Amino acid sequence: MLFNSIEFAIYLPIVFLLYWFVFQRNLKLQNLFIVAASYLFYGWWDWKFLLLIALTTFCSWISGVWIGSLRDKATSKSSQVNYAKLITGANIVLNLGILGFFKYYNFFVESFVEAFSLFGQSLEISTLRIILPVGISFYTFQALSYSIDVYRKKIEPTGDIVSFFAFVSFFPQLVAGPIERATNLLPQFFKPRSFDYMQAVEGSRQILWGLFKKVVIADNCAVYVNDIFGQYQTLPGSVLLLGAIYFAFQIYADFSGYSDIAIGTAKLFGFTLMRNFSYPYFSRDIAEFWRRWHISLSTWFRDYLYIPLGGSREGLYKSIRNTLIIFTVSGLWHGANWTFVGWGAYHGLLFLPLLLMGKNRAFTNTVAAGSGLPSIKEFLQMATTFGLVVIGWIFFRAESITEAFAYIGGLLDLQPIKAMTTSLNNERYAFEMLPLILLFVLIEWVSRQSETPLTSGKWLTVRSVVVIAMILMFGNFVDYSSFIYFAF
Amino acid sequence: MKKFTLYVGKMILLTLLTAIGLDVIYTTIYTSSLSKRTKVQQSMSIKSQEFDYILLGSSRVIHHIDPTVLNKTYQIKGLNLGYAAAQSNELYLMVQSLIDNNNKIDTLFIQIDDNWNSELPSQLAQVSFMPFLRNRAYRDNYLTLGFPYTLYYYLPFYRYIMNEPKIGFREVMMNLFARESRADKTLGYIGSSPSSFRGKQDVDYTLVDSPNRNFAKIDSVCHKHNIHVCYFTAPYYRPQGSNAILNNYLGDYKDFSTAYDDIKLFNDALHLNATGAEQFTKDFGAYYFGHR
Repeated sequence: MLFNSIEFAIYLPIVFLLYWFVFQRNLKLQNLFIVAASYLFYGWWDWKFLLLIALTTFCSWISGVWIGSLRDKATSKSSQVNYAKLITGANIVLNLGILGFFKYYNFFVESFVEAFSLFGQSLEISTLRIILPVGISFYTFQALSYSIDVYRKKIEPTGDIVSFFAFVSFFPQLVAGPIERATNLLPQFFKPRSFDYMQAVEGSRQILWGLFKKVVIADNCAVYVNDIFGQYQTLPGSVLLLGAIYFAFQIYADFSGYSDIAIGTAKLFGFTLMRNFSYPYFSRDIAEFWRRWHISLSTWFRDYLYIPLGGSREGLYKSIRNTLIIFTVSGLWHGANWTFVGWGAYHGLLFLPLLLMGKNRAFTNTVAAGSGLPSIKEFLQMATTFGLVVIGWIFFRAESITEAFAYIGGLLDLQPIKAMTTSLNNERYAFEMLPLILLFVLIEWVSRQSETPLTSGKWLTVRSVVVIAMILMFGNFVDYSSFIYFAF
Repeated sequence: MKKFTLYVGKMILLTLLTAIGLDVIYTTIYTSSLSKRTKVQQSMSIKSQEFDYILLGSSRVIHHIDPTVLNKTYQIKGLNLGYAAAQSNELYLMVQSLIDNNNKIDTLFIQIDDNWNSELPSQLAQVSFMPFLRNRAYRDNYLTLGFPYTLYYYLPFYRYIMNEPKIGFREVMMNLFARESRADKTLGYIGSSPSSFRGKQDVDYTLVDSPNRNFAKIDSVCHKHNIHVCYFTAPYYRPQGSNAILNNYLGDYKDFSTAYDDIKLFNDALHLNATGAEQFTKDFGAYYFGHR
């Protein structure tokens, strides 16, 4: 069920009304209702994979229960730790194994066979017809965060299986994040929720803004991106540059739009989810970009992979190693293709110099805070960072590493701007998308110190109406596409 | 909760008002536009004029017959109102529109091919009618067809949202700034430059042996207003189908489908190129106006 679909528009009010009017009096029933509604939401795509999410959820829950029971027993601390390690390790292996099978089996088989063919050998290993369950990367990581936090004693294990199932399957963030931490979201299921008018209004406005980003910016950019990337070999460099920029905004608006809708929807039900994007294209360097882009994932990798590996505290070699591992794995998390690995490694190489020079935390405040315009230096920093990120996105979007390099090579084929409009055999906006994107950037710039342009400030109702008008006028409801991150 | 319900109600109302406002703005721009970018707009804007002939049909009329040549050769007045993907339903609506606007037309030339088989609106061509859905003839026609036309009619701005690529913001701006269409200077004809032949080198089709309700309505309304209707089938390249059954249903029908076998006159099996159109215009004119 897509957020920008008629089904969801019908589903959400029904769930909302039942949640607050029928199940509000009993917390357990209310949480059970969330599980039912979330499983319906997920099963709408394919009911056969409900068993998989249930299995992942149960394994993570039971691992916490076992660890908790170990601690209650009068066993020695060292054997407690060993058993806890074993249980947590087993859960991690099981869940990552499921994720690995569904997501990476064919990729590794094909890569293995191709590698062998380089030596003139052919292997007879066939790939399987595996369907990637929607959201598996997200809910697996979310469930694992609980297991690991229980092991580290950051959170007490819970015996409340209903609340735990609700935590893992919570429908607003189930299929594309934010990847919630048990320490943040799980406790919210233990406390009764009372309806908060301001929170609900804020949530509605955030949903509206997310919808704008998705149907106006992302889906319209997608039309051009598909056209340009589909025939990049025949297009001039100016058009390829346009395509890369459009994709940068497509993926940002698509993913952050989804996150806004998810966070806004959660607010309607009295939940607070973590922020996932903080105006990443206003970053002054790559390190800042990674503090602002897909925050839930990057912090997950920092806390559960980078720091356990030693972070940057165990010498130069390990700092470099851990940084490259983190970024490469992060790339691989996005998809089973060497292009994602390449994208991740590319960002790792950009991040490394900043880390080694101790400048990876140079920019922790909001750019040009308190000022209307950035300084020339800040503007150049943002433009440079954006340019580097756009190059990375080419790898992300391309079908193969070869295609990515060919596309980048094509960027150097500079022809007059006029070639732009004649090259694109598209009846839609052509370069008219650029003013829309510039308007979008301007709106976000002015609102960069708020969570969204509709969260705080004056004239919120008027702004909401303007956004509604723009959705009606420019929204792409005709060839709408599913959210990009559903594929991860 | 009550306050939130009122808030949601307020936002729904504001959304509705916004949609109504946008609908009014868009429709006003379309109906009062100085440039008639679509043939539908053209047919609606032609009022109380006299024509010796008007051509109607699909792209197999737009690209095939040049009225400027016919008008000059035979000292007559006519227009090419063919438009891409038009089916029988759209042709009927255009005829009705021309008649409702008190135009005097001696002869209507209507191109028939496998559009004979369909009585339903063309998914592509119907879009041009959507801004004018409140026009009596169009409204009566589409509302009888039910969903989604009832939504298009009753839900403000919905038809613009669902047909945004063709009649959305961009097209509204083109109308607002009176950007001419390609066919304005050539009385509706658009020639296709000769290029290498594309696609299959023949055309296969079968015509249903039953009357078409829309063409029957065209006959009826034209008979009432003393308009002579001539049906014809424009040339194909190597057609495999037969048009013989059309003689059973159409009074005045001429089959030009096999008129040419020279591939150099065609861009594809369905469409003549500019060279082919030049030849066909000459032959068409000689057949229908040669006695003058």
